[in-house]
Parts: sequence; C-alpha cells; structure tokens
Amino acid sequence: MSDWIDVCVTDDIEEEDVIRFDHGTRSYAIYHSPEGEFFATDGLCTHEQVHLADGLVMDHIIECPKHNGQFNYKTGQATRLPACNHLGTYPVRIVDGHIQIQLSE
Amino acid sequence: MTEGIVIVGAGHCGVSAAHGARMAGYRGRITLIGDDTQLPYERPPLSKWDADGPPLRPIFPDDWYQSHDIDLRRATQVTSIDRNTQLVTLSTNETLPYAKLLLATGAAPRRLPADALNDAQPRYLRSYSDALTLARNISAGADVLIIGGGFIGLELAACLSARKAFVHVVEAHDRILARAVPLEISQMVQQLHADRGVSIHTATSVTTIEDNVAFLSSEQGVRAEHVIIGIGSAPITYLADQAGLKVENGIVVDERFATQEPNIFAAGDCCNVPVAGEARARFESWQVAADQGFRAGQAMAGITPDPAPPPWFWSDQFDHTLQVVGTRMGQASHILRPLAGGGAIALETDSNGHITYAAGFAHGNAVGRDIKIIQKLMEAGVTPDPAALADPKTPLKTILRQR
Repeated sequence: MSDWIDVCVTDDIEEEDVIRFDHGTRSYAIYHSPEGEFFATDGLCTHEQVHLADGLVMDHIIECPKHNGQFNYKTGQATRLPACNHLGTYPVRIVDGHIQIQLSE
Repeated sequence: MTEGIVIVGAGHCGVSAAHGARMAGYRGRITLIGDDTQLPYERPPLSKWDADGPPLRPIFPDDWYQSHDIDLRRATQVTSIDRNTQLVTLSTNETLPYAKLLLATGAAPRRLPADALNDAQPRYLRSYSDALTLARNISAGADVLIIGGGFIGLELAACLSARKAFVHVVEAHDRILARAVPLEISQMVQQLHADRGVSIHTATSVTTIEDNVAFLSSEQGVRAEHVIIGIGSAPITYLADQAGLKVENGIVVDERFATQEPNIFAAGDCCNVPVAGEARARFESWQVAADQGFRAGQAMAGITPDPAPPPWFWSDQFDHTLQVVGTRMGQASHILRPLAGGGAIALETDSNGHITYAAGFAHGNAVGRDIKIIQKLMEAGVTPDPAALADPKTPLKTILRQR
C-alpha cells in the first residue's frame, strides 16, 4: 500500500533550498531544484544520521552540514565521502500548489 | 604496469588514495598496507564517544575493497623501501614491487618527556585500541588530568565529563585552541566547558605528578588518577628517512604529492606540501588527509589532481560543533558574525577583502551550512561587504548569489 502525503505548498521552499519533513517516525528532506522541480529523499545522512535539511543545496547536490558528505538529491546517490550509502528517494507530485510525496508501506 | 601502486598506511589518506586512483580509471594492481588489525576506520569518532564509548566506524564496508579490486593487508608493516629495485619489504618478509609508492604513514602523538610525569603512566590517543583502553579504564567518578587544550584534549574532556569523570585540562598557552581559532571562539568553547564542569587551567604547566596528584605551575594541586596527553603530533617519516627522501617537518612533496623520487609520493599528516607561492605546510586534519590522499591517487594514476579545496575541519564539544575553513594569516582584519540562535562565526579577510579564514561555533549543526557557503565565497574569490558578513540578518547565501 502506498499513500500520497501532503507536505506543504510550493512557495514554502525557496528555489535551490531544502526543508525537513517529519512523518510518522521518519524524517524526509524535500528539495526545490534551481529548475523549479521538487524532489524528496530520506531526511537523515546515511553516514551519521544528521538532518540533511540543515545542509546546503547547490544545483542538484545536498551537502551534509556535519561532515560534508554529498548526495545527488534527484537520484539519492552518495557522491562524496564520508557518505557511501545512497539515500532513499520518493516520488513527488504537485496537486493544486501542494507538494505531495509518495511513501510506501 | 603490472607492478601497480603500493600504499603504505590504511588510514583515511591511504584509503582515499586507493579510491582516487580507481576513480581516475587506474586498472593496475593496488595494494593497501595498514598496521591496524581493524578494517580501515574513521579516526574522528575516537574522541567523540557515544553512550557505548568510542564508535568503530569503517571508512568503507568490507566488500568495497573486493569490488574495487584493492588488496588490503591489515596488521602489516612496511619495514623498508628499496628505491633502486622499486621493492618494499613487509613485516611478513614478503617483498612487493611497485610502479608508484605512496607514503600515507600519518602522524604519532607527541610524547611528553617522562621526567615531568614522575610515576604517572600517561595515555595517548591515536588508534581505536587507544580509545578503547581509555574508555575501559576511566569510569564515572574518576579524576582525569588532560595535558593540552587542543582539539583532542578538549573533545576527550567533553566525552569523559559526560561520563561523569572529574576532568582538569592544563594548557600552556594563555587560552585554549590558541593556534587554531580566534580569541572569541576560544572563549565560547572555554565557557561551555566551564558550564559543563570541566576545569581548564590556561597559562599553566604540570610541574610534577606524585601519588595521583599533579602539581601545577600555578602552585595548585589537582587529583590525577589518569593522565592523558594531547599536545599535538609528529609526522611518521622513518621509511622516508631510511630511503633518503627529503624530510622537513614532514616528507617534502610537490603539488602532485611526488617526493624528489618521481615514483614515490607522500600525502596526509606525514607530508609537507606547497600551499601558496613559496609557503609550505603540514596539515593534521581528517578532510585534508582524505583530500590529499584522493588527489595523490589521481596523480599516481597519471591524471592531473583536482585543485586543493580550502582546508576545513570540525570538532564536536559536548552538543556543540566547531567548524573551521581556510588558513589563519595573522595580518588579516577580523569580522564577528553573531548567530541568531547563539554562537558566532569569526571571519578573517586579507587586505583585498577576500575571506581567508572562518571559524564558527554553535549548538548542534547550526554553523554547518554557513561555513559551507563561506567556503564557496572563498573559492569564488569574492570580496563581500564586511558589514553584510557581520550582519546575521543578511543570509550568506544571498551574498553568494549576488556575486
């Protein structure tokens, strides 16, 4: 079973920025790319469980604020040490100006 | 190139070199030799304990070495190098040929002369096994004396005091972290330690230690059941010395990390690199070690190494984080940017207005993003308005976008 969950409205996230979104027991990071698209990944760095939303978004890269691990938030791929495990990514859609992410289970 | 690359030292630098060479497309043999028994691990957590003590955190999982075709030899030393035949001899008596050799031998804690310590048995921290020994021997209520108010000493002070030990830190300078950060940041870190019950004695040295009591130059005596020394480290260069390579505060290398012998390279804590113009430096930091290793791997693979990023490091002190980027120049002008949620960033600029250095200290990860943006401002070579830098209401990302 999978659900589309309402996150916020599109104006809530600046371009080339990220916000934290907690749902249930988990935390997610929702991104607004420089091209105006939205993406969603797991919210915690795979290295030391730090909230990525405190980090810096540049182009399509999110950099962890703690140890500078980097991920491509469109694919979840870890692109710089010390991060070596990829992030989970989640489908995003916009409905009437609202960002929704699809969470499985 | 059947002889391949041999890397001496499997810390962050050595592992990054193997990674860098493979990422550069190198297909020859890579042998990575380390004296530790563990899978190569991260050193920073050794002085940043969790509830269970020092965490053991492998740099890469076990199968990474197989999937990248890297022959990892643990618990093995290199005992000698023969430059003429391009062979190294291992502690197992095996000899290995090399086309390119990297010395990533790191640094060892500086020792305090034994006479000052009298009957105390000092402990040092470098390896996981050192950290485990500290955690197993120092329990709640223990009296701990830490000699040296640098990063290792202060991180251990925070770990041990969080575990209910009574901690004194003795620092010879008139403030802690004197070399690394400006006065305001030193004061904020010292205040945090004082608030959490660590006693810091600056401009003080230990005169002698007798029967678990340390006598200080301030004529105070403090209980010192355990003595830990954190007074910096010295490069490990005996292989380079023995091979006749040039050593001056580290193994002397060029911007490609090559020694005067074109097939022998050195990187990380053990090497001395050109930084700007005629200036040279030896760094002791996780990020620099990883970065230099990666770029030395690129050089050994035959490609031009990436440009060096500004040096960056972090330190955890209780639930606060310190982050530093750049190099302190001394002559620089000074800007203090207070942070909305507490803490501050101290910046230095050169006579042209370029940011050369920044140190931020705050609760949690509050400084991380700003320090990254400052690094990007440095790399972009911009000259921001000092008033904007000092104003917490002007987001640094706005300054970056306006460039």
